[in-house]
Amino acid sequence: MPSPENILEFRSRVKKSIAFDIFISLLILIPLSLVFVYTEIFEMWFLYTRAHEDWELDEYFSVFIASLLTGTVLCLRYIFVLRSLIKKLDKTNMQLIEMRERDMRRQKMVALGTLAGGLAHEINNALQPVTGLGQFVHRALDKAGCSKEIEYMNIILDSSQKAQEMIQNVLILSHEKSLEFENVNAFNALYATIELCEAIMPSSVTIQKAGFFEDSGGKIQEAFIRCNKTGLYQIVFNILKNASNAMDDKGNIFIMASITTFPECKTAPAFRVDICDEGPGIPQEIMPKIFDPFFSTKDISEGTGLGLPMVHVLVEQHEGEIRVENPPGGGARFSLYFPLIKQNERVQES
Amino acid sequence: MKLSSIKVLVVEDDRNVLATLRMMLGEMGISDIHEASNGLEGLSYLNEIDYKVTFIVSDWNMPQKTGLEFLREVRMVDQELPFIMVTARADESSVLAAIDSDVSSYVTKPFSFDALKKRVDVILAKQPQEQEEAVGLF
Repeated sequence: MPSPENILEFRSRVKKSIAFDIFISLLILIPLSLVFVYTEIFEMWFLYTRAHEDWELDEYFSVFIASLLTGTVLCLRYIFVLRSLIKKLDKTNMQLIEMRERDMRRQKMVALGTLAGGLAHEINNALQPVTGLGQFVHRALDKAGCSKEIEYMNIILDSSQKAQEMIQNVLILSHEKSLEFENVNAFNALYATIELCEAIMPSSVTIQKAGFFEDSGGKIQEAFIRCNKTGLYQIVFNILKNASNAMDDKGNIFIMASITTFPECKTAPAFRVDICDEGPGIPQEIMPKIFDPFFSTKDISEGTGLGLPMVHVLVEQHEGEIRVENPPGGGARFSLYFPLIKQNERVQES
Repeated sequence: MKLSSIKVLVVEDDRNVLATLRMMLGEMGISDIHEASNGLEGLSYLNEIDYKVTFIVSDWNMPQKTGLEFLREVRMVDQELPFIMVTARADESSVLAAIDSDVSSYVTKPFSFDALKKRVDVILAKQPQEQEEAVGLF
Protein backbone atom coordinates (compact mmCIF):
# COMPACT_ATOMS: atom_id res chain seq x y z
CA MET A 1 0.00 0.00 0.00
CA PRO A 2 1.68 3.23 -1.08
CA SER A 3 2.09 5.63 1.81
CA PRO A 4 1.31 9.36 1.56
CA GLU A 5 5.00 10.16 1.27
CA ASN A 6 5.22 7.98 -1.86
CA ILE A 7 2.14 9.56 -3.43
CA LEU A 8 3.42 13.08 -2.87
CA GLU A 9 6.81 12.07 -4.23
CA PHE A 10 5.16 10.43 -7.20
CA ARG A 11 3.06 13.52 -7.93
CA SER A 12 6.03 15.82 -7.78
CA ARG A 13 8.04 13.47 -9.98
CA VAL A 14 5.25 13.46 -12.58
CA LYS A 15 5.11 17.26 -12.46
CA LYS A 16 8.89 17.43 -12.82
CA SER A 17 8.92 15.09 -15.81
CA ILE A 18 6.13 17.03 -17.56
CA ALA A 19 8.07 20.24 -17.05
CA PHE A 20 11.18 18.56 -18.37
CA ASP A 21 9.32 17.25 -21.43
CA ILE A 22 7.95 20.71 -22.23
CA PHE A 23 11.43 22.19 -21.83
CA ILE A 24 13.03 19.66 -24.16
CA SER A 25 10.24 20.08 -26.72
CA LEU A 26 10.68 23.85 -26.72
CA LEU A 27 14.44 23.35 -26.93
CA ILE A 28 13.88 21.36 -30.12
CA LEU A 29 10.90 23.22 -31.60
CA ILE A 30 12.12 26.82 -31.30
CA PRO A 31 15.43 26.35 -33.10
CA LEU A 32 13.75 24.02 -35.60
CA SER A 33 11.09 26.65 -36.39
CA LEU A 34 13.79 29.27 -36.81
CA VAL A 35 15.68 26.94 -39.17
CA PHE A 36 12.50 26.38 -41.17
CA VAL A 37 11.84 30.11 -41.42
CA TYR A 38 15.32 31.19 -42.36
CA THR A 39 16.20 28.36 -44.75
CA GLU A 40 12.81 28.46 -46.46
CA ILE A 41 12.60 24.66 -46.37
CA PHE A 42 8.85 24.87 -46.68
CA GLU A 43 9.02 26.87 -49.91
CA MET A 44 11.46 24.36 -51.38
CA TRP A 45 9.19 21.48 -50.34
CA PHE A 46 6.21 23.25 -51.91
CA LEU A 47 8.06 23.74 -55.24
CA TYR A 48 9.26 20.14 -55.19
CA THR A 49 5.74 18.75 -54.74
CA ARG A 50 4.44 21.01 -57.52
CA ALA A 51 7.20 19.66 -59.73
CA HIS A 52 6.20 16.03 -58.98
CA GLU A 53 2.41 16.25 -58.90
CA ASP A 54 1.87 12.64 -60.00
CA TRP A 55 3.82 11.40 -56.93
CA GLU A 56 0.94 12.78 -54.83
CA LEU A 57 3.43 13.91 -52.22
CA ASP A 58 1.19 16.64 -50.83
CA GLU A 59 -1.62 14.11 -50.35
CA TYR A 60 0.64 11.78 -48.42
CA PHE A 61 1.93 14.72 -46.46
CA SER A 62 -1.62 15.78 -45.55
CA VAL A 63 -2.45 12.27 -44.37
CA PHE A 64 0.76 12.27 -42.35
CA ILE A 65 -0.20 15.58 -40.68
CA ALA A 66 -3.73 14.32 -40.08
CA SER A 67 -2.47 11.14 -38.39
CA LEU A 68 -0.10 13.21 -36.29
CA LEU A 69 -3.02 15.37 -35.12
CA THR A 70 -5.23 12.36 -34.43
CA GLY A 71 -2.41 10.72 -32.52
CA THR A 72 -1.90 13.84 -30.45
CA VAL A 73 -5.59 14.10 -29.62
CA LEU A 74 -5.71 10.44 -28.62
CA CYS A 75 -2.62 10.87 -26.48
CA LEU A 76 -4.02 13.91 -24.71
CA ARG A 77 -7.26 12.06 -24.08
CA TYR A 78 -5.33 9.13 -22.57
CA ILE A 79 -3.29 11.46 -20.38
CA PHE A 80 -6.41 13.11 -18.94
CA VAL A 81 -7.96 9.72 -18.22
CA LEU A 82 -4.79 8.70 -16.41
CA ARG A 83 -4.80 11.98 -14.49
CA SER A 84 -8.33 11.49 -13.14
CA LEU A 85 -7.53 7.86 -12.29
CA ILE A 86 -4.54 8.96 -10.27
CA LYS A 87 -6.63 11.57 -8.47
CA LYS A 88 -9.22 8.96 -7.57
CA LEU A 89 -6.55 6.56 -6.36
CA ASP A 90 -5.05 9.35 -4.29
CA LYS A 91 -8.34 10.08 -2.57
CA THR A 92 -9.09 6.42 -1.88
CA ASN A 93 -5.60 5.94 -0.54
CA MET A 94 -5.94 8.88 1.85
CA GLN A 95 -9.28 7.56 3.07
CA LEU A 96 -7.83 4.11 3.64
CA ILE A 97 -4.92 5.53 5.58
CA GLU A 98 -7.28 7.60 7.73
CA MET A 99 -9.44 4.56 8.38
CA ARG A 100 -6.43 2.47 9.27
CA GLU A 101 -5.18 5.10 11.70
CA ARG A 102 -8.60 5.31 13.33
CA ASP A 103 -8.71 1.55 13.62
CA MET A 104 -5.26 1.43 15.19
CA ARG A 105 -6.28 4.14 17.64
CA ARG A 106 -9.37 2.19 18.58
CA GLN A 107 -7.36 -0.99 19.07
CA LYS A 108 -4.88 0.89 21.18
CA MET A 109 -7.71 2.21 23.32
CA VAL A 110 -9.12 -1.27 23.80
CA ALA A 111 -5.73 -2.68 24.75
CA LEU A 112 -5.06 0.24 27.08
CA GLY A 113 -8.51 -0.22 28.51
CA THR A 114 -7.87 -3.84 29.39
CA LEU A 115 -4.52 -2.97 30.90
CA ALA A 116 -6.01 -0.06 32.80
CA GLY A 117 -8.85 -2.19 34.12
CA GLY A 118 -6.49 -4.80 35.50
CA LEU A 119 -4.17 -2.20 36.94
CA ALA A 120 -7.05 -0.30 38.53
CA HIS A 121 -8.17 -3.47 40.26
CA GLU A 122 -4.72 -4.11 41.69
CA ILE A 123 -4.34 -0.52 42.84
CA ASN A 124 -7.74 -0.62 44.55
CA ASN A 125 -6.45 -3.63 46.46
CA ALA A 126 -3.30 -1.80 47.39
CA LEU A 127 -5.29 1.21 48.60
CA GLN A 128 -7.48 -0.88 50.88
CA PRO A 129 -5.16 -0.83 53.94
CA VAL A 130 -4.85 2.95 53.69
CA THR A 131 -8.59 3.53 53.41
CA GLY A 132 -9.48 0.85 55.91
CA LEU A 133 -6.92 1.42 58.63
CA GLY A 134 -5.73 4.95 58.13
CA GLN A 135 -8.31 6.47 60.40
CA PHE A 136 -7.18 4.31 63.32
CA VAL A 137 -3.63 5.54 62.97
CA HIS A 138 -5.00 9.07 62.75
CA ARG A 139 -7.03 8.48 65.90
CA ALA A 140 -4.04 7.09 67.79
CA LEU A 141 -1.83 9.97 66.71
CA ASP A 142 -4.55 12.36 67.80
CA LYS A 143 -4.76 10.70 71.21
CA ALA A 144 -0.98 10.79 71.57
CA GLY A 145 -0.94 14.44 70.61
CA CYS A 146 1.45 13.99 67.66
CA SER A 147 0.33 17.07 65.79
CA LYS A 148 3.15 16.87 63.24
CA GLU A 149 2.47 13.21 62.49
CA ILE A 150 -1.25 13.94 62.17
CA GLU A 151 -0.40 16.41 59.42
CA TYR A 152 1.59 13.68 57.68
CA MET A 153 -1.33 11.29 58.05
CA ASN A 154 -3.75 13.86 56.61
CA ILE A 155 -1.57 14.19 53.53
CA ILE A 156 -1.34 10.41 53.21
CA LEU A 157 -5.11 9.97 53.46
CA ASP A 158 -5.74 12.87 51.08
CA SER A 159 -3.34 11.45 48.53
CA SER A 160 -4.95 8.03 48.66
CA GLN A 161 -8.32 9.72 48.13
CA LYS A 162 -6.90 11.35 44.99
CA ALA A 163 -5.59 7.98 43.82
CA GLN A 164 -9.07 6.54 44.30
CA GLU A 165 -10.63 9.26 42.14
CA MET A 166 -8.01 8.71 39.47
CA ILE A 167 -8.87 5.01 39.41
CA GLN A 168 -12.55 5.84 38.98
CA ASN A 169 -11.75 7.96 35.92
CA VAL A 170 -9.51 5.27 34.47
CA LEU A 171 -12.21 2.66 34.99
CA ILE A 172 -14.55 4.78 32.88
CA LEU A 173 -11.93 4.72 30.15
CA SER A 174 -11.65 0.96 30.29
CA HIS A 175 -15.42 0.53 29.87
CA GLU A 176 -15.66 -0.92 33.34
CA LYS A 177 -18.51 1.46 34.14
CA SER A 178 -21.56 0.79 31.97
CA LEU A 179 -23.93 3.65 31.23
CA GLU A 180 -27.71 3.78 31.20
CA PHE A 181 -29.28 5.35 28.14
CA GLU A 182 -32.56 7.07 27.43
CA ASN A 183 -34.18 8.60 24.34
CA VAL A 184 -33.86 12.37 24.51
CA ASN A 185 -34.42 15.33 22.21
CA ALA A 186 -30.83 16.08 21.27
CA PHE A 187 -31.38 19.83 20.88
CA ASN A 188 -32.91 20.17 24.34
CA ALA A 189 -30.31 17.95 25.95
CA LEU A 190 -27.47 19.88 24.34
CA TYR A 191 -28.99 23.22 25.29
CA ALA A 192 -29.34 22.14 28.93
CA THR A 193 -25.81 20.77 28.95
CA ILE A 194 -24.39 24.03 27.60
CA GLU A 195 -26.25 26.02 30.25
CA LEU A 196 -24.70 23.83 32.95
CA CYS A 197 -21.24 24.23 31.45
CA GLU A 198 -21.62 28.00 31.04
CA ALA A 199 -22.18 28.30 34.76
CA ILE A 200 -18.81 26.73 35.50
CA MET A 201 -16.72 28.20 32.70
CA PRO A 202 -14.69 31.35 33.40
CA SER A 203 -16.67 34.51 32.71
CA SER A 204 -14.04 35.75 30.27
CA VAL A 205 -15.07 33.00 27.89
CA THR A 206 -18.29 33.44 25.91
CA ILE A 207 -20.15 30.54 24.40
CA GLN A 208 -22.05 31.36 21.21
CA LYS A 209 -24.78 28.96 20.21
CA ALA A 210 -26.07 28.48 16.67
CA GLY A 211 -28.33 26.08 14.87
CA PHE A 212 -30.80 25.54 17.68
CA PHE A 213 -33.66 27.21 15.88
CA GLU A 214 -34.52 27.53 12.21
CA ASP A 215 -33.81 30.97 10.74
CA SER A 216 -37.24 32.50 10.30
CA GLY A 217 -40.40 31.67 12.22
CA GLY A 218 -38.40 29.89 14.94
CA LYS A 219 -39.13 26.28 14.06
CA ILE A 220 -37.74 24.21 16.90
CA GLN A 221 -36.32 21.00 15.64
CA GLU A 222 -36.60 17.71 17.39
CA ALA A 223 -33.97 15.08 16.92
CA PHE A 224 -33.96 12.05 19.14
CA ILE A 225 -30.82 10.23 20.16
CA ARG A 226 -29.99 7.58 22.73
CA CYS A 227 -28.06 9.42 25.32
CA ASN A 228 -26.77 9.36 28.86
CA LYS A 229 -27.22 12.92 30.12
CA THR A 230 -24.26 12.78 32.50
CA GLY A 231 -22.16 11.34 29.70
CA LEU A 232 -23.22 14.11 27.33
CA TYR A 233 -22.38 16.69 29.99
CA GLN A 234 -18.91 15.18 30.46
CA ILE A 235 -18.31 15.14 26.70
CA VAL A 236 -19.28 18.77 26.18
CA PHE A 237 -17.64 20.00 29.37
CA ASN A 238 -14.28 18.36 28.64
CA ILE A 239 -14.19 19.70 25.09
CA LEU A 240 -15.14 23.18 26.32
CA LYS A 241 -12.49 23.04 29.04
CA ASN A 242 -9.91 22.04 26.44
CA ALA A 243 -11.01 24.85 24.13
CA SER A 244 -10.96 27.40 26.92
CA ASN A 245 -7.45 26.35 27.94
CA ALA A 246 -6.27 26.69 24.34
CA MET A 247 -7.54 30.29 24.31
CA ASP A 248 -5.99 31.11 27.71
CA ASP A 249 -9.54 31.36 29.12
CA LYS A 250 -10.38 34.41 26.98
CA GLY A 251 -12.53 34.66 23.89
CA ASN A 252 -15.42 32.95 22.14
CA ILE A 253 -16.34 29.35 21.69
CA PHE A 254 -18.90 28.56 18.99
CA ILE A 255 -21.26 25.63 19.33
CA MET A 256 -23.41 24.60 16.37
CA ALA A 257 -25.99 21.85 16.25
CA SER A 258 -27.41 20.39 13.08
CA ILE A 259 -29.05 17.35 11.59
CA THR A 260 -26.94 15.68 8.94
CA THR A 261 -25.38 12.31 8.20
CA PHE A 262 -22.35 10.48 9.46
CA PRO A 263 -19.16 11.56 7.67
CA GLU A 264 -18.30 8.13 6.27
CA CYS A 265 -21.81 6.79 5.79
CA LYS A 266 -24.14 9.14 3.91
CA THR A 267 -27.18 6.96 4.59
CA ALA A 268 -26.91 7.10 8.38
CA PRO A 269 -28.66 10.19 9.81
CA ALA A 270 -26.81 11.92 12.63
CA PHE A 271 -27.15 14.74 15.09
CA ARG A 272 -24.03 16.80 14.67
CA VAL A 273 -22.44 19.13 17.20
CA ASP A 274 -19.53 21.37 16.24
CA ILE A 275 -17.48 23.08 18.91
CA CYS A 276 -15.00 25.65 17.56
CA ASP A 277 -12.56 27.75 19.51
CA GLU A 278 -10.43 30.80 18.73
CA GLY A 279 -7.23 29.21 19.96
CA PRO A 280 -4.10 28.42 17.96
CA GLY A 281 -5.46 25.11 16.70
CA ILE A 282 -3.96 21.68 17.25
CA PRO A 283 -0.49 21.12 15.75
CA GLN A 284 -0.52 18.40 13.10
CA GLU A 285 2.07 16.27 14.88
CA ILE A 286 0.04 15.87 18.07
CA MET A 287 -3.31 15.35 16.31
CA PRO A 288 -3.11 11.54 16.50
CA LYS A 289 -2.20 11.70 20.18
CA ILE A 290 -4.86 13.93 21.66
CA PHE A 291 -7.10 11.01 22.63
CA ASP A 292 -4.27 9.04 24.22
CA PRO A 293 -4.75 8.60 27.97
CA PHE A 294 -2.46 10.75 30.10
CA PHE A 295 -1.17 12.64 27.04
CA SER A 296 -1.21 16.29 27.94
CA THR A 297 0.46 19.44 26.72
CA LYS A 298 -0.34 21.10 30.04
CA ASP A 299 1.50 21.20 33.31
CA ILE A 300 1.06 18.02 35.37
CA SER A 301 -0.79 19.90 38.11
CA GLU A 302 -3.35 21.32 35.71
CA GLY A 303 -4.96 18.15 34.54
CA THR A 304 -4.83 14.41 34.41
CA GLY A 305 -4.70 14.07 30.64
CA LEU A 306 -7.84 11.97 30.89
CA GLY A 307 -10.37 14.55 29.67
CA LEU A 308 -10.24 13.94 25.91
CA PRO A 309 -9.73 10.15 26.16
CA MET A 310 -12.85 10.08 28.33
CA VAL A 311 -14.69 12.10 25.65
CA HIS A 312 -13.61 9.57 23.02
CA VAL A 313 -14.77 6.60 25.09
CA LEU A 314 -18.07 8.27 25.97
CA VAL A 315 -18.77 9.17 22.34
CA GLU A 316 -18.10 5.56 21.37
CA GLN A 317 -20.39 4.32 24.11
CA HIS A 318 -23.08 6.51 22.54
CA GLU A 319 -22.31 4.79 19.22
CA GLY A 320 -21.24 8.14 17.83
CA GLU A 321 -18.15 9.49 16.14
CA ILE A 322 -15.79 12.35 16.80
CA ARG A 323 -13.67 14.31 14.36
CA VAL A 324 -11.07 16.97 15.06
CA GLU A 325 -9.89 19.53 12.54
CA ASN A 326 -8.18 22.87 12.28
CA PRO A 327 -10.75 24.76 10.16
CA PRO A 328 -9.52 27.39 7.69
CA GLY A 329 -10.77 30.21 9.95
CA GLY A 330 -8.32 29.23 12.69
CA GLY A 331 -8.63 27.47 16.04
CA ALA A 332 -9.72 23.87 16.44
CA ARG A 333 -13.07 22.26 15.68
CA PHE A 334 -14.43 19.18 17.44
CA SER A 335 -17.31 17.58 15.52
CA LEU A 336 -19.51 15.07 17.32
CA TYR A 337 -21.94 12.80 15.50
CA PHE A 338 -24.71 10.92 17.33
CA PRO A 339 -27.01 8.44 15.56
CA LEU A 340 -30.57 9.73 15.16
CA ILE A 341 -33.47 7.57 16.20
CA LYS A 342 -36.45 9.61 15.04
CA GLN A 343 -36.85 13.10 13.68
CA ASN A 344 -39.82 15.42 13.23
CA GLU A 345 -40.33 19.16 13.15
CA ARG A 346 -42.71 21.16 15.24
CA VAL A 347 -43.67 24.69 14.27
CA GLN A 348 -43.40 27.05 17.21
CA GLU A 349 -46.39 29.15 18.03
CA SER A 350 -45.24 32.73 17.44
CA MET B 1 -25.01 -11.72 70.10
CA LYS B 2 -21.83 -12.12 72.12
CA LEU B 3 -18.80 -10.83 70.23
CA SER B 4 -16.64 -13.68 71.46
CA SER B 5 -18.93 -16.27 69.91
CA ILE B 6 -18.71 -14.74 66.47
CA LYS B 7 -16.71 -16.79 64.01
CA VAL B 8 -15.84 -15.32 60.62
CA LEU B 9 -14.37 -16.77 57.45
CA VAL B 10 -12.41 -14.26 55.34
CA VAL B 11 -11.50 -15.30 51.81
CA GLU B 12 -9.08 -12.98 50.00
CA ASP B 13 -6.01 -13.61 47.85
CA ASP B 14 -4.18 -10.33 48.50
CA ARG B 15 -2.36 -10.75 51.81
CA ASN B 16 -2.38 -7.06 52.66
CA VAL B 17 -6.12 -6.79 52.11
CA LEU B 18 -6.54 -9.98 54.13
CA ALA B 19 -4.54 -8.49 57.00
CA THR B 20 -6.54 -5.25 56.71
CA LEU B 21 -9.81 -7.14 56.92
CA ARG B 22 -8.56 -9.03 59.97
CA MET B 23 -7.58 -5.77 61.67
CA MET B 24 -10.82 -4.02 60.75
CA LEU B 25 -12.89 -6.88 62.13
CA GLY B 26 -10.60 -6.76 65.17
CA GLU B 27 -11.54 -3.13 65.69
CA MET B 28 -15.17 -4.27 65.74
CA GLY B 29 -14.34 -6.72 68.52
CA ILE B 30 -14.30 -9.82 66.32
CA SER B 31 -11.21 -11.95 66.87
CA ASP B 32 -12.16 -15.47 65.85
CA ILE B 33 -11.26 -15.12 62.17
CA HIS B 34 -10.22 -17.88 59.82
CA GLU B 35 -8.36 -16.75 56.73
CA ALA B 36 -8.41 -18.46 53.34
CA SER B 37 -6.67 -17.26 50.22
CA ASN B 38 -9.10 -18.61 47.65
CA GLY B 39 -12.52 -20.20 47.22
CA LEU B 40 -11.24 -23.76 47.30
CA GLU B 41 -9.53 -23.28 50.67
CA GLY B 42 -12.64 -21.54 51.92
CA LEU B 43 -14.88 -24.42 50.88
CA SER B 44 -12.67 -27.09 52.40
CA TYR B 45 -12.59 -25.15 55.70
CA LEU B 46 -16.36 -24.78 55.67
CA ASN B 47 -16.78 -28.49 55.11
CA GLU B 48 -14.37 -29.21 57.98
CA ILE B 49 -16.37 -27.16 60.43
CA ASP B 50 -19.73 -28.08 58.95
CA TYR B 51 -20.47 -24.52 57.79
CA LYS B 52 -20.63 -23.28 61.37
CA VAL B 53 -19.49 -19.70 60.83
CA THR B 54 -21.38 -16.54 61.72
CA PHE B 55 -20.67 -14.91 58.39
CA ILE B 56 -18.31 -14.94 55.42
CA VAL B 57 -16.41 -12.05 53.83
CA SER B 58 -15.11 -12.90 50.38
CA ASP B 59 -13.27 -11.18 47.55
CA TRP B 60 -14.71 -11.31 44.04
CA ASN B 61 -11.59 -11.79 41.93
CA MET B 62 -9.64 -14.82 43.07
CA PRO B 63 -7.62 -17.55 41.40
CA GLN B 64 -8.92 -21.13 41.11
CA LYS B 65 -12.42 -20.24 42.24
CA THR B 66 -13.95 -16.80 41.91
CA GLY B 67 -15.95 -15.15 44.66
CA LEU B 68 -19.13 -15.63 42.67
CA GLU B 69 -18.51 -19.36 42.22
CA PHE B 70 -17.64 -19.65 45.91
CA LEU B 71 -20.89 -17.85 46.82
CA ARG B 72 -22.93 -20.17 44.64
CA GLU B 73 -21.38 -23.29 46.15
CA VAL B 74 -21.97 -22.02 49.68
CA ARG B 75 -25.57 -21.26 48.78
CA MET B 76 -26.06 -24.81 47.59
CA VAL B 77 -25.41 -25.97 51.14
CA ASP B 78 -26.65 -23.06 53.23
CA GLN B 79 -29.09 -20.46 51.87
CA GLU B 80 -29.08 -18.39 55.05
CA LEU B 81 -25.39 -18.02 55.79
CA PRO B 82 -24.60 -14.26 55.68
CA PHE B 83 -22.15 -13.50 52.87
CA ILE B 84 -20.45 -10.16 52.25
CA MET B 85 -18.89 -9.79 48.80
CA VAL B 86 -15.91 -7.46 48.47
CA THR B 87 -14.95 -6.27 45.05
CA ALA B 88 -13.32 -3.54 42.98
CA ARG B 89 -15.96 -3.87 40.28
CA ALA B 90 -19.06 -1.78 40.88
CA ASP B 91 -20.67 -2.20 37.49
CA GLU B 92 -24.28 -3.28 37.26
CA SER B 93 -23.76 -6.74 35.82
CA SER B 94 -21.48 -7.83 38.67
CA VAL B 95 -23.84 -6.53 41.33
CA LEU B 96 -26.81 -8.20 39.64
CA ALA B 97 -24.95 -11.50 39.34
CA ALA B 98 -24.11 -11.41 43.04
CA ILE B 99 -27.68 -10.47 43.99
CA ASP B 100 -29.02 -13.21 41.77
CA SER B 101 -26.90 -15.68 43.71
CA ASP B 102 -28.30 -14.44 47.02
CA VAL B 103 -25.39 -12.44 48.34
CA SER B 104 -26.30 -10.78 51.63
CA SER B 105 -24.23 -7.67 51.27
CA TYR B 106 -21.83 -5.92 48.92
CA VAL B 107 -18.96 -3.49 49.41
CA THR B 108 -16.58 -2.04 46.84
CA LYS B 109 -12.86 -1.66 47.29
CA PRO B 110 -11.31 0.35 48.70
CA PHE B 111 -13.91 0.64 51.44
CA SER B 112 -13.70 2.54 54.70
CA PHE B 113 -13.99 1.03 58.13
CA ASP B 114 -17.43 2.56 58.55
CA ALA B 115 -18.68 0.98 55.32
CA LEU B 116 -17.69 -2.48 56.51
CA LYS B 117 -18.94 -1.92 60.04
CA LYS B 118 -22.37 -0.86 58.80
CA ARG B 119 -22.77 -4.07 56.86
CA VAL B 120 -21.47 -6.26 59.67
CA ASP B 121 -23.85 -4.56 62.11
CA VAL B 122 -26.79 -5.31 59.82
CA ILE B 123 -25.77 -8.96 59.63
CA LEU B 124 -25.23 -9.29 63.38
CA ALA B 125 -28.56 -7.63 64.12
CA LYS B 126 -30.29 -10.34 62.08
CA GLN B 127 -28.56 -13.15 63.96
CA PRO B 128 -30.90 -15.37 66.02
CA GLN B 129 -30.40 -14.93 69.76
CA GLU B 130 -30.45 -18.73 70.44
CA GLN B 131 -27.14 -18.90 72.27
CA GLU B 132 -28.19 -16.47 74.93
CA GLU B 133 -31.55 -18.17 75.33
CA ALA B 134 -29.81 -21.52 75.63
CA VAL B 135 -27.57 -20.06 78.36
CA GLY B 136 -30.65 -18.63 80.03
CA LEU B 137 -32.37 -22.03 80.12
CA PHE B 138 -29.60 -23.57 82.14
